[in-house]
Amino acid sequence: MSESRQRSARTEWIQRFKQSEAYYLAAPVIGILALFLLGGAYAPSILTLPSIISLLSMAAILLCACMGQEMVMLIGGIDLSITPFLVLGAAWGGALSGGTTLGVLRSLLIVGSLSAVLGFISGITIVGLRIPAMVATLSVGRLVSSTYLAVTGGKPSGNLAPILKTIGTGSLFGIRYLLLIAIFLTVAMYFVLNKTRFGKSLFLIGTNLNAAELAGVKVARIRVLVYVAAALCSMLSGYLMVGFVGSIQNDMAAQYTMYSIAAVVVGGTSITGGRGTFTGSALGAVFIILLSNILSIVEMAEGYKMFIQGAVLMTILVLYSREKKLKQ
Amino acid sequence: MKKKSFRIQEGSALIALFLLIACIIVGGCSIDYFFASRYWINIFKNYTPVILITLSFAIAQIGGACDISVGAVASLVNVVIIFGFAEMGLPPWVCIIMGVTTGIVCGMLKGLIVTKLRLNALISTFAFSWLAQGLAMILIPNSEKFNAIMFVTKFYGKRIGGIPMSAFFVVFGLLIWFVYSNTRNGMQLYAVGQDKRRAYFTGIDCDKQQMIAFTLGGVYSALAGVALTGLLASGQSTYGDPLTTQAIASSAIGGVSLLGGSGNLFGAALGALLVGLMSQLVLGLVKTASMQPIVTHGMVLMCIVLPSAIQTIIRYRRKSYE
Repeated sequence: MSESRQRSARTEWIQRFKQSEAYYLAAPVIGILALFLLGGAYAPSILTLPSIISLLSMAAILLCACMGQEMVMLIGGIDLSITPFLVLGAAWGGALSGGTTLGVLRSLLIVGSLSAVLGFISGITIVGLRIPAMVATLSVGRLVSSTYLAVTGGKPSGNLAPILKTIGTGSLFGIRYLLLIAIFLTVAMYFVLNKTRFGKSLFLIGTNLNAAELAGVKVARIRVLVYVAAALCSMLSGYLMVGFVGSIQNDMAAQYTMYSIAAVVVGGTSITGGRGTFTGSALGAVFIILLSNILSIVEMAEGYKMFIQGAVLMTILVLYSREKKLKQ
Repeated sequence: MKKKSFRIQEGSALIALFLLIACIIVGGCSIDYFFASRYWINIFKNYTPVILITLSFAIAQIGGACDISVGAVASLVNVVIIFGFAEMGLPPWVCIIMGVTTGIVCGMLKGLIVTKLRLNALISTFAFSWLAQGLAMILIPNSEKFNAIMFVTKFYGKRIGGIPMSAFFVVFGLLIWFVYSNTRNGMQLYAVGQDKRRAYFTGIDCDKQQMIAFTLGGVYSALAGVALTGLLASGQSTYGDPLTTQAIASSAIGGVSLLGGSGNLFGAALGALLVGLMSQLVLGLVKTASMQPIVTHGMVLMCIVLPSAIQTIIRYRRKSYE
């Protein structure tokens, strides 16, 4: 009797743990620790402080893009236009700035409003015309990247403003600006998602659209707004990236759409919407960047790198995001 | 609810047909050699892989599972065929059988992942595409190009009674769908795609139907891989994956709903052909090279948006009458 009660208490504890936030944060944390151990065993230089800081600042770029993806995924959509907007921000941010701080602000205004309009177009397509998010963002993204290629002629040019370089590589009291930005963004997103009306309504929309509508949430307006915000986040992360890399290349962010999805999913956000934390996604971003960095350090061929990334993602999915059985 | 979604799907497939006719008229008026058989043979030769990849995407989509690894799997098949020939020195037929088997096995694996492991189809096939792409790049790194099998290239370029062999690939694929969709399994697939839960309660074996759909999707990917081998005359590991995005857009144009359970593969093939013809027309008509992709992608976006826009306008007008 007492044994069975004990067992039921234990299973209850496990159940509660499985529903808690910590359960979903555990995956990226354990993953990061495991990667550090494995990577450290191969190349101890990974474990030194400078390399960890540089890793975290690289993750900050992905984290900025992940903010948009997180919001979109919370309402049950998906954004496949991260890379085009990121490249747009990186390339035109550099080209239009003319190398001055004032120019950067001006280009931020121009490119920002352009991205907002384009994000608005994909939002309207999804919400007003009921096109699935995947198709709409994909098509808008392809349009953006081809336009960008046509305008730059495949060879982006322009002077990089010193301020972007400072943000990308400089540091304040020994802490990288990018790291500060990452911390700021994570805290800000935490507040937006958990403390504001807007953030809370995202969860409601993701859980049940009709219920949200009936509860008085302005569903259409918020959904469009989320896609605009996603476009802006990717664009901003382009500015961070161009500062970090220091030059503009066409294929600099080819993997970022996929990385952002992987990071958000690893961080425990449900792909069907309604559940997730940005803290998880931030850890997920660190995990993904760490994985790709370690695979680069090991000097693995591109094929093996991709295969291992796929296998790791699949493992995490199998462990974490199995759906419930139909038969219960 | 069901009737409404059916109407939307039918309308958009019709619009794909209408747009295709419009494209043919525009092409006929502006390009002299448009109705020459060479032009069409060329179109079929170039776009058969995309059409087959679209079919592969669409059949899983009808079953309610979004499979974004179709292009990567097609590339893997292509690479396996060329690798077997050039590296292992196997006879061409064995290579092709090996490649086709790879495609089908990939389809079955995806089916198992989605049904037995119960993972979300979109994200798990996305992981699967990394696996397939990675495997292809391990076999043939992108910087290297292996010898072609002239046998396959010749076979692919052949014509039977003036009709290019590549068109037969598509016809063969559609024939499979025609037979399958008229069986009980095909009917049940639609039910699974519309609402898996309800289908389950009606007594349909959902896992089995999705498994069949994924396996057939694997067959289409394998066909696409063979077609790619014929078209490229080499093994290129990164050629297929970008085609997936085109396949998604094409099948949306062709009336296969991304919500699952509506549309058919004829519409999807039509959509893919429309996108192919459009990009070919743009190549001929727009002279500035840098403008070509913008025009193509803009037109694809318009094609996707158009049916829904018309539907929305009709709905609003009806509402205002009532």
